[in-house]
Amino acid sequence: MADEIKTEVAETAQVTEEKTVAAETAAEEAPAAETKPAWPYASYPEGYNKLLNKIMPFWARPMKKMMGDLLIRVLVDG
Amino acid sequence: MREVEKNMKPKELKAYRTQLFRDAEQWKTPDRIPHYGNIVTWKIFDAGYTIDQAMTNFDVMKETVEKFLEKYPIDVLIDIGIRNQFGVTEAFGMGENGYYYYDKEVVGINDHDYCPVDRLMEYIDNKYKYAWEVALPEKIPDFYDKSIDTWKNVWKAYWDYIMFIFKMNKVTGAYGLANGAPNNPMKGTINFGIEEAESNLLGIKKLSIACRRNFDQLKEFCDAWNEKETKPIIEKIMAGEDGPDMKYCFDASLIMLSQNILNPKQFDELYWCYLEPLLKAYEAKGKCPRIFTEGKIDMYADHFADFKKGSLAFHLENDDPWAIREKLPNVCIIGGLTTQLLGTATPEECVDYTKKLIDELGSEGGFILSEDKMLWYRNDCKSENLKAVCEFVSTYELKK
Repeated sequence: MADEIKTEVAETAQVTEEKTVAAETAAEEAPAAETKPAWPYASYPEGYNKLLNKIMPFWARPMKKMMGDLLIRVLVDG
Repeated sequence: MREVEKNMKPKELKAYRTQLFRDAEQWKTPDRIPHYGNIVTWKIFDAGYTIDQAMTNFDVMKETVEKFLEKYPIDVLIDIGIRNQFGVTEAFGMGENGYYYYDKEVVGINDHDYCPVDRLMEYIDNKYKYAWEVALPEKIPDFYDKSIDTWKNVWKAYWDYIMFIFKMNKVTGAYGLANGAPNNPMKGTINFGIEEAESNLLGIKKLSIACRRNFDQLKEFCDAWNEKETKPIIEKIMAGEDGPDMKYCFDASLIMLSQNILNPKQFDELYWCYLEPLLKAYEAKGKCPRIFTEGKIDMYADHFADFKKGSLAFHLENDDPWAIREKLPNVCIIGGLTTQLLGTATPEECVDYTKKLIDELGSEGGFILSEDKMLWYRNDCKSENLKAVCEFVSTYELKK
């Protein structure tokens, strides 16, 4: 019984080792996974406001809400 | 143009023209029949340009409008050259992902849909959030890759466009052109859920299918739209002043198109139950909206039969104006001139027909002359025909 357990453990360890080696090889061969950062302006209204702050001249910012929403409409309906 | 009008200063002429519209709407005999110019890109061809030349150059567009107003003494012009947002979409590099397109001869729009039926409630919850976070990234594959410089160019094009709108308002003011209608008392144009679903969210094809397969979801969306968009407008109308706003020829401008694909039950449950309270509010306050009834409205004419004279004006497209007058003797008719006539007949035939329209439909008010379809294409109209009609209607005085 003990031998059977030893054998099973040894076989399991062998399989595990083979799987680990295969996984490591695959990982080395595969190109590095792209970890692209999320677009910082993707949310509304927070991200969109940040974008507007970058592209609107300072003097136009008091009209940000009205003009910003209309710009979205122009882009989405146009 | 009559001598009395030629001698008016622009502001005076503008006020006079506005009064002509208001008289016609109120079924008072106006001095002459006003002419509502339903003319869009045809004026570009008439000025010697092609569509692409005017759409990409504000100076050319301004020149086409000025040439048009010099040549044709029209009282209101539906498009003063500002239905042109291509500068913004092109700065964005929208290319073939844009819904509108143009070439030398045509401006067109593709049937489009940016909101599936099961997301309509998400859209109504926050339209701009949905547009920014869902619709735009789906519409434009490289949306997240646009550089800050591209966005700055978009902003510049957008600002130029807004400045152009102001400039064109000054130009038309110098010609004494009257203002058609104010915007929605909240903001933007007045629209209904079913129209928004047809024109943008689902498109004609998917709305037609949804009417049969997803009626309950559509109804839920239209109810929510009514609560969020239409009811506040009604409250604002009821809280405002009585009587017509004399800065404008009409107190509101609405477009109806989706009635053409709805059956009577769908029309009642998805459209009329929201439209009627709005129209009743205008009626109660002594105001008159213009409704551009695209396609046809005669199948639903009975719905409008009980409104007081002076509270509704229908801008007809494919309906016969005499048939509508018979069914709806309470509704002011805008229209009468067909593109078939303007594009193929002689100037004499056009004038004879215009005289018949005025004598039979407008001698006691209740009629405003206009082109039935928007004039977009080169062959929609011959210059000599429009000139003859304008000359006739602007000088044909009515007996009071």
